[in-house]
Amino acid sequence: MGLVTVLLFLLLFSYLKPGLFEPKACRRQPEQCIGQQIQLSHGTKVSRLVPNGFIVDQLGAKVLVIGDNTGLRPGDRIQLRGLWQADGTIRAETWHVSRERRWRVWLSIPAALLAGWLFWRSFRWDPRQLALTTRQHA
Amino acid sequence: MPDLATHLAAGYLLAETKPTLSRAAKTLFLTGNLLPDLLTRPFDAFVPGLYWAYSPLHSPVGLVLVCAVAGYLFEPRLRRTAFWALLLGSGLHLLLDSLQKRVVDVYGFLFPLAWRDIYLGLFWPDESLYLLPVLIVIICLRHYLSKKIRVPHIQFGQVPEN
Repeated sequence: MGLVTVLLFLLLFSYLKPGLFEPKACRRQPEQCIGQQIQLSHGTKVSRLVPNGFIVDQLGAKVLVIGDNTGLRPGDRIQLRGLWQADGTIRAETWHVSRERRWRVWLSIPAALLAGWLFWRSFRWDPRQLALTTRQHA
Repeated sequence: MPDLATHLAAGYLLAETKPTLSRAAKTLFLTGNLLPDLLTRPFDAFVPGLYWAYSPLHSPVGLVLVCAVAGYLFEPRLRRTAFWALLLGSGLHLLLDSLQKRVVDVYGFLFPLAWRDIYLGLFWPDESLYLLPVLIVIICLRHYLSKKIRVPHIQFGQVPEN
């Protein structure tokens, strides 16, 4: 029970004090973010290309990114590092687009199912002990 | 992250280098090898807004706690094995992840002290897809060779046949 409490505390701590600056937080408290490095990854897509950069959408928060947009396409999943500017834009330092992500996801599903099958071939739930135990042959 | 198939194949190859391991321990090692992504990627797909709440489950500190908690799901005689096999598997997962290039710190290797990652930057996550066929060929070759040169099991006192 103690372990679960510590784990939940860590998750809560991380949720309440995110490790990196995010656009939504920077819009709420811009003074904390100006000139700071900002990193965008989870759920971030290229929304639109503009002449001097591109617009990214992170879970509904759209931000103009100033920088090279060569090779980018709307809809690309992007990881981006840049500096938050006073005008609410990001000056891109570097970015990477993950085009094969879909393949990685689709390949991961059978791997996870295989691992699940191996697990249940080796272990079973023992209702008397309320615990997992090995199957006879494992 | 490399895809789970690459993680699984790499874990399988490593587990097979230790033939004395029980099947249960190998299975737990393989499960642990997928654990960091199994704990976090479904959230990525369905509730990405809670990213900061679940991302510590991919960090070393979070995984030690998860493996310890998971160990208690097993009967007492298996708990120690379960904990260590899951933890070592998770460790291999993080090791493979740390070989990747990245532009953002997403794995929290130093969590809760910092979110900076430690990584070698050998390949982009997508490039692990090219490694997968190589790993599968190695696994098939290994199986083929192990069947070809299998040493017959001789019991104590038994006279081997020609």
